[in-house]
Amino acid sequence: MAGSRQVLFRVILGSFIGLSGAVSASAQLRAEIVGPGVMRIPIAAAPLAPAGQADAALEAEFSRVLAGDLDISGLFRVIDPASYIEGVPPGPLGPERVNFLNWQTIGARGVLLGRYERSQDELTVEVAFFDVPGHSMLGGRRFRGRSGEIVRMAHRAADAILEFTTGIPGPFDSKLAFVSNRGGHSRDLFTFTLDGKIDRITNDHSVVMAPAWSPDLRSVVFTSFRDGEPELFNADLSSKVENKIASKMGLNIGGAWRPDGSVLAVAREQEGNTDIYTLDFRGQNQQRLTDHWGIDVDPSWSPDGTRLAFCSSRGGTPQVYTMSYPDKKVSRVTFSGNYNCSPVWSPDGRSIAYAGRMGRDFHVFVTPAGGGEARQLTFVGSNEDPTWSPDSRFIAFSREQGKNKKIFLVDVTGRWERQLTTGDGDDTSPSWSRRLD
Amino acid sequence: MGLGRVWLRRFRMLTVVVGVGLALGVTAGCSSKSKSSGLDDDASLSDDKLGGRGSMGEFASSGKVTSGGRFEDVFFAYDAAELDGSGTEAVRYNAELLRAEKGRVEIEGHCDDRGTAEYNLALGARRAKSVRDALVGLGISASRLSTVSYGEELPLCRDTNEACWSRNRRSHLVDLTK
Repeated sequence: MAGSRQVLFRVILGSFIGLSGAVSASAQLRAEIVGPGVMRIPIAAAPLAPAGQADAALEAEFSRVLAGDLDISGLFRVIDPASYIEGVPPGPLGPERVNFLNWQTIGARGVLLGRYERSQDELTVEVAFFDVPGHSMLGGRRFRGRSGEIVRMAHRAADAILEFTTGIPGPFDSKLAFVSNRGGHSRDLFTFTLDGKIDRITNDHSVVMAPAWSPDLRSVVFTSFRDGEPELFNADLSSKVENKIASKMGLNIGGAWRPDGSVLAVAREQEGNTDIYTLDFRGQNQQRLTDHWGIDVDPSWSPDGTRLAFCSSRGGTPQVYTMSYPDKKVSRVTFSGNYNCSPVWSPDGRSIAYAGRMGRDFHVFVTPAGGGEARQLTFVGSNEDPTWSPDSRFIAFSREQGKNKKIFLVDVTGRWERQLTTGDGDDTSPSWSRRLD
Repeated sequence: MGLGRVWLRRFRMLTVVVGVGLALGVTAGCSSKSKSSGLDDDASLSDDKLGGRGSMGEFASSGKVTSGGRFEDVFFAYDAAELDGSGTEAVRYNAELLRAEKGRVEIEGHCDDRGTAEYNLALGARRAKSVRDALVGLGISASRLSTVSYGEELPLCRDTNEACWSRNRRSHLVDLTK
């Protein structure tokens, strides 16, 4: 039922559980949260309890994905379920039914309790998150969908835990597009989710670069040498059909959709000089945004679509600039260092991350979008292609360390890092989607 | 059983989306021939259809790129697209060869990997253009010359030292006629 699309419902619990109690008590747990990696708060996540027919595989998958997300977050550590002396209590998930002492005994500061029910192909999962020292419920969610969507429900539960404890939902129900030569020497487009599932999108025996999400998340725009020259393509993620959007005129690279989907910013080269243009969704109606002898590449929109960050060599070395749109007023953002490129605007609009060269290596930096001091976030390996998580908490990037390049994430304070991809080959050019619908 | 009893409000998550992706799907008309058209090598390549030629062709079939050929590679300084003394000499040598014949060549621009991929693609285009302009300046007809940039995507070597980087900062000429 509910149609064949991936439809999830959610419910805010606070409205009927006694919101005042939840809010005041939540301060206890919230106050402990300093930032990723500083102090990981131990929490428990009881295995989901069946309401009706049990499905051990489904329970295990939920626990695995949830624990993985919370680990990536750097904020929490999930206590080994083998030590739990308490499970999900019967009846509605309210604080009055939770034996907080038994969770406190194993050292849990918070506990996630949940239940699931399957009827034919439909799956409903409800979860509630409790502040153990505060003896209160911080919030709850209900997810309904098809049984195959248990993984996304686990990501949503992790997102909710971050929301209940910090006020900002987590980034886990999302996807990353990236380029990899895994499984061969050619470089193709892939996507992965934070539960570790990797999906190959292209198989072109060529070189793919600079993937970027369409606003509807159904497709990824990228540059491919498939037909000999760097041209712009769009790949539909479900059908895996590739369409050429823009060719002609030398290279076409770095397509970035304006968040409202109205235009695609792209770097195009004519007679050796690369400038930034916008195209419409058919790859037509080209409008020129920069007109300078320097190289202009890497357009990235501000979330409200009124500004663009880009990389330009107009000042002699590649540096990050912003431009107002559509009136094209340019201002320079980076001044220190002689190579700062690949700017990406954070989804919350506040910051711009970029790759800056320090000696032989590149590192990820973040700087206030309105101007101010830049902060270096990475210090080992060579790090390029930054991309923001949808909650603006993390930046994923490609790190070259030893022989291979892999995708890592770092939190905006630079204190917490995690490797996201493993295996053979080079993984580069991550592009993090917004939260899935 | 207990499910649903406590839930008061439901929000349907946003599922409907702008028509952008769909519309893109319909623009397939501008797409080129598929690679698996079943036609043989050269017979299927029109003059401006260069897929499978040059360094990208080598890479697609072997995963490696070689140097050499009868033209001299033109090398560049870091983050530069201007010809230096030895670059100018290499271009002169290539111009001599080209003057004695009528064929077309493609000028490839390449970079070392010490830079971002997108910037390097643009820099490679600039290097190719710089060699093209020099050849035209030496009397080679522009209609015989085309350019393509491979940025840092097709390195000759992968070591992290100046000897290797300087080999990768090159412009490579490929015959388009046999």
